[in-house]
Amino acid sequence: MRKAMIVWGGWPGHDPDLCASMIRGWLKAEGFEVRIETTTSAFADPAIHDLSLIIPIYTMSKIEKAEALNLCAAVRSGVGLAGHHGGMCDAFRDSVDYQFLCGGQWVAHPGNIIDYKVDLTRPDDPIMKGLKSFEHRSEQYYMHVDPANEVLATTTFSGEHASWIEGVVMPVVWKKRYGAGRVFYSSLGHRAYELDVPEIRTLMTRGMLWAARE
Amino acid sequence: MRKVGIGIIGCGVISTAYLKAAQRFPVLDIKALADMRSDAAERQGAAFGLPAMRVDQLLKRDDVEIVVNLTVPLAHTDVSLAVLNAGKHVHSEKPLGIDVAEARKVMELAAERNLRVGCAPDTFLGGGHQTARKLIDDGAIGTPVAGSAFFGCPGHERWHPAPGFYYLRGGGPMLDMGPYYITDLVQLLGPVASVMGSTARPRSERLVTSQPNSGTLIPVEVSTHVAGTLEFESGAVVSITMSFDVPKHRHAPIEIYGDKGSMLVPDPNRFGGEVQVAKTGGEWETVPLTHAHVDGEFRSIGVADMASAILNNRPHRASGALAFHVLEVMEAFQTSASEGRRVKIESRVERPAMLPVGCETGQID
Repeated sequence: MRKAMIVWGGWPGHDPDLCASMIRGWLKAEGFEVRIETTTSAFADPAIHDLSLIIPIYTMSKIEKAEALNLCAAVRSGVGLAGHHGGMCDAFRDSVDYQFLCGGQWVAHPGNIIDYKVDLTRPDDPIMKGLKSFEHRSEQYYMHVDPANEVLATTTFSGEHASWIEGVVMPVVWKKRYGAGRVFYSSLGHRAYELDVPEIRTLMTRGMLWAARE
Repeated sequence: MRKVGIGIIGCGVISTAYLKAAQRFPVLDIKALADMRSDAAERQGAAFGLPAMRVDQLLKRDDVEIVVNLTVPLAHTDVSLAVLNAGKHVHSEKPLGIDVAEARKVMELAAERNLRVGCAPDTFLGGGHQTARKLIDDGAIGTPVAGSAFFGCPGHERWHPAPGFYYLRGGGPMLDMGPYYITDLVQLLGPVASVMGSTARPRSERLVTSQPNSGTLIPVEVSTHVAGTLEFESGAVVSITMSFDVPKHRHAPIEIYGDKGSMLVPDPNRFGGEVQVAKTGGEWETVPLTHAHVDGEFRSIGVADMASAILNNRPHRASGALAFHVLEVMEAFQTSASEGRRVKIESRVERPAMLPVGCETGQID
């Protein structure tokens, strides 16, 4: 049986507990055995090298150097990593090791909760198959991203809330390699209820399965 | 009579009930629909012949005075705050927020901007519950001293297409069904002073038997059986049970016991129903209803009351203050159970005024 670990905690505004519950439900439905942890010390556990998938939901907060290095080593050896929004790419802001692993770091969401469009750049990718571009209402994440990411969806900033970024095309969903490991990320899902949006649930579920080497 | 322009955000299951019922209240003029999922807004727009748009477009419209917030509970405060920040009154589905801290932000912003907050449930404005109110005010059962409120079902995973949220933080039987019962009790008996609670979570996972997720197990993170006591400022003591762990039962939804008689109040999740009174030593007798809004679905009467209140410059009945008080009471059951103590309720709210006797269906003032 494939094994996944969800580590949730950090800033509560992103509903990490609810997201963890929902994602655990999705993974169990896909036949995973799911371990739930609530402290970053879980990342230092040697046993994580035997997992198929690790899901961090841990906005802001701190990760110890040894924890970050063990997590990176696990993914480098082939364990998958998947996550969403700030739970993965606004976690552990002072750990460059972790950011090199994830492929991006949140820096702004001009206008806070706004209506914006998610454009599919790779509708042919198995993760995106059958989906269409869609409107979403949430935080539109402006990120510092790794040019090596394989971008599956983007959003374009209107400039209404920060005039100098008008027309900037920003990755929303990406997949990437990290050693032998697969890394998947989606910036959608500021609150847990957004994960129930059919497109978001679909691309996240497929992304997690891809990262876990389905 | 001037009509009041209404916008609706959230085009899920409950929006159909609102849109149908709104047609029965001449004071309401629905102008626009929006939803986080554009397809849901377009579907309802097509069904009711109304323009569907993005949330930000709806919030910019000058002809929308009140926005009805029918999003999922977890989104209620985010959307209500956005509505108030756009300078419009808001009427939210229940609960006002998934906790007191969230809901307080809405109340504070509304006070700061001098805007109205309304909140479901508005079923207490139905003929069954207004009749019960009149009977209490007229002394039909004497001074109310006690009562009971009971809701029990086997769980929403038997019928709801996406039941997961009922079993996570912000869900549970108290937050889901408590608003109907406690709001009705407050309009009948006045504000609650303190709460004692006991809770149980007999299962950590539940099997979904509804489509499309039949056969999947969903995690249970909250108490699914909540029992306790409401101690009202008036001195009345009401036993309450809200549960997703009851296969079947024979309790009346609400019973009120006074020093001269008892009253059976109909289901507070409905507008009408039968009101029965028994004098001490006598038999149950059905009392003819004194108020309109009885048969059918009037979910939007609270919005109509707010619109009429704006036109007549008076307080509205299904108010944010009432919802905030009810939310504080509901939250107190878990606090009491977790900490093993009686919890004092800080907020106070006046009973909303009874609707005038003799109004026709669709008429408020």
